[in-house]
Order: sequence, then structure tokens, then C-alpha cells
Amino acid sequence: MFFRLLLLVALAATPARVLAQATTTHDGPLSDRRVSYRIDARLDPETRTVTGAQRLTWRNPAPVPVAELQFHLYLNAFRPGSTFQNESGGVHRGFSASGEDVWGGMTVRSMRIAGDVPDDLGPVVPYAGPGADLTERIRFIQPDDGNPEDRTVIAVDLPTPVGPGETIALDIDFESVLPRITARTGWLKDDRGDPFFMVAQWFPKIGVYEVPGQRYMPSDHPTGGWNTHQFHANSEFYADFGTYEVSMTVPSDYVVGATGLQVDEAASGGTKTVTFRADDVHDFAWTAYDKYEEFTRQWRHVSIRALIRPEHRAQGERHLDAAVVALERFHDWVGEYPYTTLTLVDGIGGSNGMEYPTLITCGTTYMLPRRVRALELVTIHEFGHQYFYGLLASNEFEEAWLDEGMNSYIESRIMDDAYGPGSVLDLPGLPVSGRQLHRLSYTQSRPERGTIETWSWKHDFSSDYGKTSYAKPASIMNSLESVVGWDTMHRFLRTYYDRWRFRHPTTRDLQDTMEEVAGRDLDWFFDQYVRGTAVVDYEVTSVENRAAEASSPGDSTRALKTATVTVHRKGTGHFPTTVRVRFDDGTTEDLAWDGRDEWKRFTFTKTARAVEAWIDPDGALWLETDRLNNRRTTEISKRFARREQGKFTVRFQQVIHLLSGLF
Amino acid sequence: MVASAFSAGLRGLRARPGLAVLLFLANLALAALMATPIASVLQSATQGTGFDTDLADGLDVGLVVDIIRDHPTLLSTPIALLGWLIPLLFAWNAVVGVGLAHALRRDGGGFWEGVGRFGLRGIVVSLVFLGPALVSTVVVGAVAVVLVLLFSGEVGVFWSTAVVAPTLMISLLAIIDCMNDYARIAVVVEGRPPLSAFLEGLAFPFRHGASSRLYVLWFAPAILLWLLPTVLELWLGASIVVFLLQQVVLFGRSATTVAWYGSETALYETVAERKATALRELEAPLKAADTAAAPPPEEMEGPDAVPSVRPQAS
Ligand SMILES: [Zn+2]
Repeated sequence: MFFRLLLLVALAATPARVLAQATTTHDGPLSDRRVSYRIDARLDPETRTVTGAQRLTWRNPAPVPVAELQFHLYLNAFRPGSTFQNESGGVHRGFSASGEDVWGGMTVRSMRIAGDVPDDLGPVVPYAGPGADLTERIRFIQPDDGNPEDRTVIAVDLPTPVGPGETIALDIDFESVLPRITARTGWLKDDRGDPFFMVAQWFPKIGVYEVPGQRYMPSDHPTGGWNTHQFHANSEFYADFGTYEVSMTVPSDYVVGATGLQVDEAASGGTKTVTFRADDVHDFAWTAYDKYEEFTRQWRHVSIRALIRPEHRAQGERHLDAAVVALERFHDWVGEYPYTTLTLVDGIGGSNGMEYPTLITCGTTYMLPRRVRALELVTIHEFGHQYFYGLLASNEFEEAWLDEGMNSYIESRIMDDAYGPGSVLDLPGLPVSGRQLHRLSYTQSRPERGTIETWSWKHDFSSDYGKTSYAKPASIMNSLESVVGWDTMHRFLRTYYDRWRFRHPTTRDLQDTMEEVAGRDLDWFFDQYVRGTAVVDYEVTSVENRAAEASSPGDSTRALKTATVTVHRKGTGHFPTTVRVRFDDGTTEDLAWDGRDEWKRFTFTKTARAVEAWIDPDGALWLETDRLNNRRTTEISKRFARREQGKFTVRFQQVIHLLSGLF
Repeated sequence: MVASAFSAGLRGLRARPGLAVLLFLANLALAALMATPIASVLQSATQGTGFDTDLADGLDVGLVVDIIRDHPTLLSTPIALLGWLIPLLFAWNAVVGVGLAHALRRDGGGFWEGVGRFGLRGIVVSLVFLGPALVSTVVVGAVAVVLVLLFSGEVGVFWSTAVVAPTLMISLLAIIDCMNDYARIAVVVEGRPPLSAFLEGLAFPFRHGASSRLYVLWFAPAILLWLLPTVLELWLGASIVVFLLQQVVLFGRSATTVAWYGSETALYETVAERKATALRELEAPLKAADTAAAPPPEEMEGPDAVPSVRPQAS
């Protein structure tokens, strides 16, 4: 009892109450905040429309004046004729919409330069230009493909440029008609016919003005430049960090989940207005649905909230467990999760499997068996995005792998660390691990095609986006770990995160950090597997023994023998590996091989005969496209075939008994 | 009547254990025929790779996929085999039905004698029963579609497609299997031609409730013995000892088939005999020019029931 009392006192003394009201663990800004959004949004479930009034604040980070602003109107991807529709054919990851009310889109009703600039970004130098109505100045631009029907990017000329370091505030009224969900955002009716809303990419969002020295913009470039891209079938997002305060008015029986921390709720008539605040994030998404059941858990400073559909009630705790598995390991392996909230959303259909700052959509199915860890896989993966998409925030249009790929690498590591060899699919007799899953998706889908560095919508074959953004990066990073070791990889992850969070790192930044931490040049790796299409396939072609020339005849067991092991690099790529040779006296020798020569012979002179050679005996080359030829032995064994013959015989006996019941 | 038919089946098995051995060996031979080409592809795929022993201790999905990619015959060979094995299995199963019925009837003859005399008719009867099986499949499919439409949503879809439809399908197929058994027995016991036997088989489970109870009584051990080899393998892993244990269980499963048929044949014979007795009893007074009314029909469900005329509708 005494200890319990002591514990209570200790808990009361900790700043938990303060933390509960803070959006991050830090007092001041964590990022170089360039934007702030204050949005009043009202959802009309009947018309599936969000009407919004937005005060946007933007600070010109460049050393030069900026005369034009650019915005993303991502929701216009769901208008007919958009580049997204042309590229996807209206089908996104297997989800499509049909019937009425399929389309969505965003209309900017008005855009005005505000008279006063809020202090969301701290002390500011206000825009020196005049207040003006910009509505008529809005024009659609198509920086990627010139498709005149695409309205996902707009440009607005300012009457007077925003000076270096100046902050401009705009009042924007907009109306967003939500599409029927195909790609993450919109509405769908649930099994009972009631509407479910996942509101994402829903407000006019200013693009990133890259300053000289930022990402690939040369340091000596006289100006910066807008980095905006249209919404593509295969691409995600890129935005600046800032603060968000969003009030959402919805019917009073709706449960609302959103990016950040809920700071207010007020009821009025049949509606309620909930307000969420988020700091040092680069997007804001929310969901509204009247059937959500809420599951909560506290993990250190993080309040985890899972919004679960009633039919998946039994899996509510599974969601929270998976989130904690991810939080613990990301905290240890990469760094602190600085936000105080994490919301897991069990959405419907195509809304699932997506990340937004501090809010992720997971997704499961009714009666999902425990041994099928699809729910854990997607929850851990989407949580991982909080780091690579959320905190590091690379440009996903141009370098999707820095988010999806690095995240897939860590996700596969976490799955295997937390759940063992059958981490993804724990089938009796045939376990499937996270790393195996990525290796198979890479090696079984034309591994020689498409580079990781290709911009997401520029692949010759659209299907190569998935492979080169997820499975291939995961497999090459898992392989690199075998070369540099986990300790180095661990230090790299922490350094990369410490140094680059909130700063939009590029592939170059990642490589530089890794080379610095590993203390070696890694061009061979990045050139072949990130910038190139090299494929690894090693083969042991022969294991041969003959009497050594110097050996004396007589006692054959003691006589010296020369063993020759021939290995072949069949693939176009090379990767350092190990060749293990086993001898008939039970000894083994491990040889390091740089894997570069097309043919290589290893010879041994010993009293024992070589009986087996094995390239990559530890299975660390996760990008090896054919493991079956990595090993060769002179010993004859039929154990496997015999055992399988027995197993198949019994299976067929059972099938015959079953069929005899059918005829 | 169920109990006496059940024990008659067991007596038949005890009297003719050779039938169980025959069935077991035939199944084993067919199964081995299918498993051998797979094993030989696996042998050539892993021969000399050194992965042989690792794979014997546990499958590795990566290697399995590499094997399938490098050796596509692993999948195509058994599929090609199925092309002729299924018709063979169908015919074998049909002749086993009549062979067993002939061997296990009260004044039974030889299994092969039964196969020779009634085999062709047995096959024809089984072919005719493909009709109801097909109709059942269509009906279950339609029911599943209707259920999914009525109870849309993943919960409804789960229960409709993963629970209700399979249960319905298994039940219907079990009823058809039961009918098919009695049709083949009718071919043997009463020498009926295929169509008559088909109609008799179709009606039999409905006229005689005992047949359904007997079916369920045998179905339970049969399904347990069918599942047990898999349970053993999951529990103990695959090894030669486990394989032998599995063969013992599968022998038990074959013996169940023999006893099951014996029971059904005994039941059919009892019913047929009672029908004949009742007919005689009906005819005797008529022959004696007795004008008294025939005795009222009685239920004949219990083992002690007095043989009587079975009401046509039940
Ligand atoms: Zn992802």
C-alpha cells in the first residue's frame, strides 16, 4: 500500500498533466515552421461536403522575394479527366468506385490577403504588400504532364512579392466534395448503409518553396523554387512543417479522430465542434463516423487511441498491442516519437493502410486469425511512416523509397523481432517472415526492371513502383545490414533521424550519413541497387577433390587432398558475402568473398575432402534472386524428397477418402 | 435397427478384414502414384544442393518458391496426373461400392465377383448421381449469393460463405453420398437396373430415418480418422514413425468404410426382408380368401419392431 501511495505521489509530481495538454514532448518548436493553418470546417453528411474557412500563414524562407504562391488542391484528383484518373483508370490498389456520387473535388471560393498576420510562427515580419483579393488570379498549372484537365495544382500571382523572411497570411474559403473512397480519402457507406468519412487531402495546401541548398536545389542558385507535383496514381506527398488548429463541425453523434491533440469540444443543436491542434507536422487528416468504438492505452508520453468499427471490436486490443510493438522498437532503434498522441483508425475499404501525421489507418477483416498478422503488419508499417514520412518527411513524389522503402525495411525487422520466423503468416510447417515476404515480392516480380530512384509516376511499368518503393529497398537494406552489421545500421538510423528530422532528407543525405557512420564508401551499393538495376544471383558450380601432388601414396585417409570450389556470379550485381566450405572431417572454413569476379575458384589443401560449399550460409543476402543454387554438396541425401513423398502420400490418401465421399 | 445394423457392419468387417486391407492398399497405391512424381521432381530439384536436409527439417518459403520457379513440373505433373486419376478414382469408388455390398450381404459372395457382376451398373448409378451433386452445388451457390445480398457486409459475407454455405454443401453432399450408397446396394441386393436403383437410393434416406442415423453414426469416426493423420503430423512432425502411425490410422479409415458399407447393406437387407415378409403376410390371407382387413401398419423404427408394411409416405 505504501509503495502504491508513493507511486501515486510520484505520478502526480511528473509533468504528465502538462504533457497531456501538449502536442509534443518539447516546449518550443521542433521544426523550422514555415506554415500554419487555422481551419474551421463543417461536414455535411448529406452532401458529403466539407465547407472550410482557412487562415493560412506562410513565411518566405528564401533569401529572395517570392512573387507567386503555389498550392495543391489534391482532392481534384477525384475529378474526371485528372492525371490520377488517367493513370489509375479509377482503380487504386484494387479499390474502385462505381455508381452515383463517385466524384469529388475542391473549389476555392475566395482567396484574400489577410490584413493581420497571426503569431502562429512566432515573431514575424509581416508581408509588406497590400491586402488584396486573389481569387481571380488563381490559375491551374500542370507541372508534371501538362494535362489541361488536371486541377490538382494552382498558382497565384501576388500583387507584391513576399520579401525574404516576410510572412503572409491568406484567408481562403473552400468547398471540398468528398469522393467515394478509392484512394484513401472520401466517404463510403458501411454495412448498415451509414456514411463513414475519411477526410484527407481536403484543404488547399501550400507547396514547398525549396530554398537554395535545400534538397537538390544548388546552394549557389540565385532563387529557390516551388516543388509542387500533380496528384498521381503512384505517388504520395511533400509539404512543409508547421502548426495546425482545425475545428470540425459534425453531427453530434459522430466520433471524430484527427491529427494531433483534441483541445476543445462544444455542442450546438444537433452538431458539435471539435478542435484539434498539431505542431511540427506537415499535414492534417480526420475521420468522422458514428459507429466507432474507442480503445485507448497510454505508452510513456503517448496517448494511443484506436477507433475501431463494431464488427472488429474483438481486435481492438490487437491494434493497440501492435502500435506498442512499433513504438518501443522505433524508440530504441531510430529515436524518440515526439508527439503525445497516436490515433489508429479502422477504416473502410480503400481508406485503409495510410499514414497522416499522428493518425494512421490500419484495416483488418472480421475473424482475422491470430496467426495471420495482416493487422499487425499494416499497423506497424503505417506507424513507421510517422518517422520516415512524418518526421523526416522526404519528398515522396520524387524519392518514395526514402519513406516507403526505409519504412518497409524497419517494418520487416520489427515484425521478425517481435513475432519470430512466422511473423507475417504463422502457418504450421510453412512460416512466412516479414523479410521473406519482401524478398519474395522483390525477386518474383522482374527484379531487373526499374530503379529505386525513379520518380514515382515515371516508371515504364506502373507495377514497378510498388516493387522499387517497398520490397526492393527493404531487401537491399536488410542485405546491407549483413555487410555493415546491425550496430552500424543502428547508429546510422539514429544519426540519420537526429540529423535530418524535419528537414526533408534526400537519397544523397541518406548515403552521406550512412557512409559517415559506416566509415566507408558505399557507392558500390547505391550505384548498383538504388540508382541501378543490378541483380544478385550467385551459384556454386562445383566442389571437386583430387589427390594433392605432393602427397605420398599409402594411407589414403591421411593423404593430402586438393579441394577446388568454383563459384559463379550469374547476376549483374555484386555484393560482399561469405563462402562456407565444409569438409568430411566435420570442419568448416568461412571465406569472405567480395563477389565481384564473374568466376572464382577457392582451393584448399588438407587431409580432408570438401563435401559442401555454400554462398551466403546465413541467408543474409535478402536480395539474392535464386538461393537454391547458392549451395552444392557432394553428399547424396534423399531425406527431403522421401519425407515429402510420405507427406504427399498421406495427403493424397486423405483426398481419395474425401473424394470417395463426394462420388 | 440402427444398433443392429451398426453391429452387423462391425461383424462384417471382422469376418472380412481382407476387404479393409484391399481398400487400404488400393488407396495407398493411388496416392503413392500421385506423390511419386512430385517427390522425384523435389529430389532432382534439391539433389546435391545441400538444402535437402534443411528442408527435411522444415520448409523455407523462399526456397520453396525458388524450387517452384526453377522446376515448374512440380505443379504441372500432379495436375496432369489428376486428369486421368479423377475418372479412375470415380470408377474405382463406384465398383468398390457394389463390390463391398456384394461381399458383405448376408449370403455374400466375393468382392471381385460383385465388382464383375454389378460394377458397370455401379458406375452408371454413380454417374447419374452426379446430377443431384451438380444441382446441389448450384443450389448452394445460389443460397450463398442470396445470403450475401441479404446480409451484405463482411460479417454477413463471412458467415454466408465461410460457415453457412460450406455446412450446407457438406450436408447435401453427405445426403447424396448416403443415397448413392443405398442405390448401389439396391443394385446388388435386389438386382435393380441403374435407374430403378437410383430412384430407390434417392428415396431411401427419406423413407427410412434409420439410414440417416446410421450415416451420422459412421460419419463421426470416419471424419475423426480422416483428420487424425494431419493432427499427428502437426503435433509430432513428419518422420518415418509418424508416417507409419498415419498409415495405421488410414487403415482404420479404410476399415471404417468397409464396416460402414456392411452396416448400410445390413440395414437395406433388413428393410427389404421386412417388406417381403409384410407382402407375404398381406398376400397369405388373400390367398386363403379371408375377407378380414389387413393388420394396421406399424412403425418399424425400433430394433424389436414387428416387420410390417412401411407406409409409403413418411
Ligand atoms: Zn507505406
